[in-house]
Amino acid sequence: MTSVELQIPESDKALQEKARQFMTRHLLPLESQFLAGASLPDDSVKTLRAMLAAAGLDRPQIPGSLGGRCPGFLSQCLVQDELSYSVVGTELCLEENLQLLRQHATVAQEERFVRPMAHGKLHSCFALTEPDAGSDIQSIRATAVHCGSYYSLSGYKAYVRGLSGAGVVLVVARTDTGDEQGLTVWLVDRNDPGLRVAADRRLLSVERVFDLALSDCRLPPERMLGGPGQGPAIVASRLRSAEIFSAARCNGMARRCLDLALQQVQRRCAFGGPLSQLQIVQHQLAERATELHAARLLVVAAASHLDSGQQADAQVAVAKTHAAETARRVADTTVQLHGAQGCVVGTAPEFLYRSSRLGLIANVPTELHRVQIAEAILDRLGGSAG
Amino acid sequence: MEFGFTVEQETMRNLLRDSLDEVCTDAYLRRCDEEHRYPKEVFELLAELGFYGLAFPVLQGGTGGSAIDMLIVAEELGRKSYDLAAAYALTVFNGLNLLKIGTEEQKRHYIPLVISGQIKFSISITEPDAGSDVAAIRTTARLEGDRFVINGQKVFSSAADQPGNVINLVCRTLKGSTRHEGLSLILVDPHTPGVEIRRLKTLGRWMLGTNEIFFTDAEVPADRLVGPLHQGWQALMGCLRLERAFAAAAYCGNAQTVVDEALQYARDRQQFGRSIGDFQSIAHMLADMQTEVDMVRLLCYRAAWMVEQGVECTREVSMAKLAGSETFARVANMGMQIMGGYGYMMDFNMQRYFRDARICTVTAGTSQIQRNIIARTMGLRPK
Ligand SMILES: Cc1cc2nc3c(=O)[nH]c(=O)nc-3n(C[C@H](O)[C@H](O)[C@H](O)COP(=O)(O)OP(=O)(O)OC[C@H]3O[C@@H](n4cnc5c(N)ncnc54)[C@H](O)[C@@H]3O)c2cc1C
Ligand SMILES: Cc1cc2nc3c(=O)[nH]c(=O)nc-3n(C[C@H](O)[C@H](O)[C@H](O)COP(=O)(O)OP(=O)(O)OC[C@H]3O[C@@H](n4cnc5c(N)ncnc54)[C@H](O)[C@@H]3O)c2cc1C
Repeated sequence: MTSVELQIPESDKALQEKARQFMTRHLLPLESQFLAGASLPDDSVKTLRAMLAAAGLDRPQIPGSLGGRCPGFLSQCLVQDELSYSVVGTELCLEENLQLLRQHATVAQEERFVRPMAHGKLHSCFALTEPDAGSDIQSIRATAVHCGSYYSLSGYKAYVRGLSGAGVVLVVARTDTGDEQGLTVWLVDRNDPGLRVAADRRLLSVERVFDLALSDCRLPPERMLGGPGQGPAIVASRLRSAEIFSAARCNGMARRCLDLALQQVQRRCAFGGPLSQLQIVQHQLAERATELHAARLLVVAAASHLDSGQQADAQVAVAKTHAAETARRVADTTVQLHGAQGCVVGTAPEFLYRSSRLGLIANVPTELHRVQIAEAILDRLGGSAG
Repeated sequence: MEFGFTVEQETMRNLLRDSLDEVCTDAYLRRCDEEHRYPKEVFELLAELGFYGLAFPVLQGGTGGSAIDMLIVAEELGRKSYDLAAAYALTVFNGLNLLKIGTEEQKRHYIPLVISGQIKFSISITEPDAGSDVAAIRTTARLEGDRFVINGQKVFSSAADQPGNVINLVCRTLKGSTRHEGLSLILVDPHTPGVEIRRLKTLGRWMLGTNEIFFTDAEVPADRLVGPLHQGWQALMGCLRLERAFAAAAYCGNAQTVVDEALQYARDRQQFGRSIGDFQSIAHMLADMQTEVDMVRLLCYRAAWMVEQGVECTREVSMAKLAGSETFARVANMGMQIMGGYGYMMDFNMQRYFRDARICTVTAGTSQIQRNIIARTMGLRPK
């Protein structure tokens, strides 16, 4: 039941199967090492990423002109869901900025950034958040000041994920000159002078995030992604992809949690029989399985919508909130059913309990998604969320 | 109906709160947590102020405090960290149990040491295959002349390896028995040859720490038996009600801190041009959190009042424990949500509350076991 079949195209089924095999063959065997050390050495991550690329599993959304499948939100979601079944897979960020770049890059930018990214030679990360600007991107204070032939970027970015190994950082800044008011997105080379790592934030999960400081980082206008003032649209599109992939990751984690719970209740005996015989246990599992099934269907629906080029913000918001809440709830149930053992560091339930909390906060917090959903449905009725 | 505290109780609460504020600063607690360091300064303070004697009769050198007094202590310790309250409870409740069923000799020896803070107690019930189902305990103690010879394994014994600790071991003394009868309570010095303690790494509760204990032909003098032979379990049940109500009040205290800190953050954090607390979804979350914590507080003090009156209150105590632990876990989850990315950072307190809260619905009788108990008092036989 937990591996319920989704109604998806045959070609995607094959991809899904390939991802599942990859996960079983290459990720599951690394789990005990990963859980014991709470991370993988950078080298293993590199190797795994290369293997994913070789297997055609990394970035299946590569545009057709670059030798990949297009646009591939659904494909990437299916891959992400399969890989995230393993705790090792939850830590392997797939490239999340390709769609964005493909859409907005100039020919020159495509040559310099998109092509190497499509071939797995370049990784990117996204620097949007600031200490005082989280959900509220309009309070971003980093600036890109036009100084004749170049722009000078200064500011402080917080919580940048995927920095290790990233060659290019997409930085969101405010451009305040003349008619170029508003947010703009910049392609900053990791080695550009003026960009440095300011802090390493320790989080509840093993994920590593960094703060970046930019001080008079000088970039030619050609490094601007999209035109001036296009920042908000680019950010929205980035968050959309990050969120649908994140929803898929939540589903993979939740599937794993549910399987762990199912094994536990059949193995653990108390008061003369396995826990699985208790009605309250059965019903908790039935509820979680129902929520999970719904979450997977929502992701397939939203990703297909995105693939067909339709406006899908509300669908993504619905899928992400439900998937994130489901992952958290399933992880919670799994820990509870494991009793004290579920809280021992080095076990999968303990790990998943910590990391499943993240989906409700990162990228777009649940509350903000609810605002989006409400606006969309009230809009349809001709009202306003106010 | 009277909901107030006496002047003496208010004075005691303020004394404890102020003294704890001095020793247990945020930085102190964070350091103890991160370094997995035993917060011995707090326990020294409690001993100095006489709190280890609070629940003991005056005749035994204590101050004869009531159940309500004890819950005030639980709440105040819990406000700093549930782990502190848990440590205090281990020593005091095992001490009270010994007072109830121990020999005169044992009382004369141990009670003054408990009150002065010179020894601490831990308890070892849980085993790998015996959690909620205590009757499945397999660790054995064989009486050989004037000693017990102990063999077996315990798991999740909190604070067993801390300085000055004595283990209260629940083990099987009657061969072949598989029920609650045949279990006995024995005091074991952790340094006894044949006793090996290994620290477990857990999600939360890092100050006290919890351990596996291996017993291999560990020999303990026979006079360390507490209460009647083979009747250790029934003996242990003696103080259970107050102990559970105490735990519930400690969850309540810790949950209140979560609400206080989340509220402060919601007031200070500006997004979209206003405090996030002014968005309805955050404001209502906080309103729910405070309402739930108040409900728990009322359940706790009702339970304590009933304990004090000496009336049957199994149901009320389990309700307080169930609601207390579930509420603590729920508000910690909401507190983390309110703090956004900062709630998830190790540099803020919220992640500690979130980690510590998770296990409270498992320890001291899981939520499911509490529901079974409550349902039984309602005439049902849940299986
Ligand atoms: C592990 C991790 C990885 C991350 N990776 C990246 C990254 O790679 N790049 C990057 O730029 N950022 C990243 N972030 C930052 C992340 O995107 C932000 O945490 C997120 O945008 C929320 O911002 P905030 O934490 O400042 O919370 P805030 O925006 O301050 O929100 C705090 C609380 O207020 C609520 N709230 C805010 N506004 C409203 C409203 N209008 N109505 C109702 N409620 C509201 C929120 O829902 C939340 O509960 C990461 C964060 C984490 C924890
Ligand atoms: C940090 C920490 C500190 C601890 N400190 C101590 C200590 O100092 N001393 C000590 O002896 N122990 C201690 N424990 C252990 C704790 O008391 C046990 O975890 C608890 O008794 C539950 O047992 P278990 O973990 O084996 O779970 P199990 O009993 O295996 O339960 C697993 C799941 O099944 C459910 N379940 C079991 N029976 C039923 C039923 N009949 N109906 C419905 N559901 C059921 C449970 O509710 C739970 O969700 C500690 C544990 C932790 C994590």
